[in-house]
Amino acid sequence: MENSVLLKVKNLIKYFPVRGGRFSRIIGYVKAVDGVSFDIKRGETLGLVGESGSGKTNLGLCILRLREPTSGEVIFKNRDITKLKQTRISEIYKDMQIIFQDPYSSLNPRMKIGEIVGEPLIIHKLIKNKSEKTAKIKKLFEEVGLDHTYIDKYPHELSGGQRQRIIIARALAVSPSLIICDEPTSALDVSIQAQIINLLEDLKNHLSLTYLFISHDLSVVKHISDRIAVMYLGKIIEIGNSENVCSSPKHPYTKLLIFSVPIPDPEVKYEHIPLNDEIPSPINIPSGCRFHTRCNFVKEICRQIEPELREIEKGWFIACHFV
Amino acid sequence: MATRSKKENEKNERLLSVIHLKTHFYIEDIVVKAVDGIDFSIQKNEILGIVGESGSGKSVCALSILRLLPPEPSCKISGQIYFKNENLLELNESQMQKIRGAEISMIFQEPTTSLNPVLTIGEQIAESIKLHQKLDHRKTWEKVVEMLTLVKIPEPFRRAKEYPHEISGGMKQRVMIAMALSCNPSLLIADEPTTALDVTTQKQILYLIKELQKKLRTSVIFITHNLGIIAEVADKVMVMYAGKILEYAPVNDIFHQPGHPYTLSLLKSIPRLDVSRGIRLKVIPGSLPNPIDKIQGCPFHPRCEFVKDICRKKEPELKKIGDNQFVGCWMYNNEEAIHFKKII
Repeated sequence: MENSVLLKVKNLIKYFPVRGGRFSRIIGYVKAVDGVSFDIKRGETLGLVGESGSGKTNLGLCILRLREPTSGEVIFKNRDITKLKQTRISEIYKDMQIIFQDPYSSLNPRMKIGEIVGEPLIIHKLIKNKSEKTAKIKKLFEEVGLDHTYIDKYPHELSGGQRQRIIIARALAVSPSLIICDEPTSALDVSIQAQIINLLEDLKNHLSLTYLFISHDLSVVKHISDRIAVMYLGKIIEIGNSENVCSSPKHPYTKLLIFSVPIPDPEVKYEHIPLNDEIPSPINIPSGCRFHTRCNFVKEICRQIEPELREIEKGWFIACHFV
Repeated sequence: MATRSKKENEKNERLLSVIHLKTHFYIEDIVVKAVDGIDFSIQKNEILGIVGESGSGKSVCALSILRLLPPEPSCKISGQIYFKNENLLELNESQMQKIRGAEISMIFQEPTTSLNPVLTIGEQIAESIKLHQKLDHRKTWEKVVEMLTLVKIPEPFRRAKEYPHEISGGMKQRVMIAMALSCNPSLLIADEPTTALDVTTQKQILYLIKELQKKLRTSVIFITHNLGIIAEVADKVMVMYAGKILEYAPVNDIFHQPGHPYTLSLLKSIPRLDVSRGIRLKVIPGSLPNPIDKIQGCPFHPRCEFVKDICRKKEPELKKIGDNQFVGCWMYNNEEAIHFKKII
């Protein structure tokens, strides 16, 4: 059973010190990720949703150690990545890759796209000679649905959707088992978004990949994920099967999120839920339940005691005193 | 009954008619036809949604109405824009300035960059009130507080003295709305007003815009790429692609019996929260057209699955296919269809 877990995150914390005053002493911390634990099974897609400032991107970067976590464990294939020496970090990138949000700023404008896709092959010494490299690049282009005549073009000659395909091809070059997708479709137009979502789904099936899919768009996350984790101010407040979480959300925050998504059907009418204020600053996280300042069902206990994630059904965890 | 018919009458009164609007940009020897011959109108007390992907010309269309584009020769606007029986394209700059902000006002996508960081939010709202209404200082400030209360900003007195960086994104957008509505305009143009906001904040802003529209009886042009938002706010919808209108219909028709293949494909290509998982998204092949390229015939034909020979050669005109539904597609090429322009 333990073997089927590909990635296990245990109590991961990322604090950024805030300096100020005389001598720029540390006067506080931005608690971007504040004790997150979850695991992802092989071949599964875990969706991670939250509003801006909820810490979802930081969590993704900490897992890859593109940002050093403050504490906690990231166990990938039974090895704790956080304990790896700085010089050996690149080993994990042979098996774990990331796709970024903005296809315009994550490609080097001075490199031909063939070189961009081929670079990981050289860095990780996965090819012996030039002809092998060209063959591999061609294969990658084919996998992401790009014509191989594009090899000698520069990023500026491509559209947003094509660039995102290049970024996916680059991530696939090392044949990773886990890909962290950080808002891969947010910068794309509606008709292009569908192409990329379908591509990610196809690749997952063909190459038996595992995804951690980070997005603020609940509809996209629901479509692609097997399970969904909802993050609020650095903590997971609900995690469970995506159908369950979306059709009968239990945590008041999840309810609020799902209610807020506009449904493309003019006949769906909702009553208005008044919302108390916006997401608080991660520097001053509210005491007790971190959602209590905006919750419509707040009771005294919520202000004092922080609820733990409790399993209410198999595999469905909620952090609320009243579920 | 009487009040209802009065309301109906008001609804049928036309506020703005755009006739054969063309906005072309000239960059060196290249012509970018951002908006290329569109006709539409907006009634009093109506919300018109304009939906389209990037480069479809939806924002340029709004900027053309307000004439907020660079002067000739780099940009040329032709056609007619009738607002309250006046052709906006024939007015001079000072006449236009009297309309902007007072009669037609606009909310932009990015509230952070639309506000001046060195002025308090109260001063910024006061600016347009002073300019158009000529009130004295005390009256102006009273109006500022009234506007902030209208957009439901708590503690308006204190907030009016704060600077933009002290308030959140959602609050900034509320301030923008307060500013836009401060002179009681008859038309409000909202260009992607919620795109930069979180979903929960977005919901609040959409609700606010709808509520204020009902209260103040303002007409609204709501521009967005999000079909969910269109379904929620719009009465009528205009689907744009490559500078043209492909479909123009009441919101229910757009979502329940879309007439144009593009509208239909768009609806099937978005993941939906209210549908169970496992349904594969429909893909519109190819990519968005480059605005520099000339497409002969129907602008959507290179990506259309129903493409016929005629689509490649001749551009279809908008045809009436339902009560109020107009579609620009050769599929509806029968004699009964009435020419769109005669009705508008």
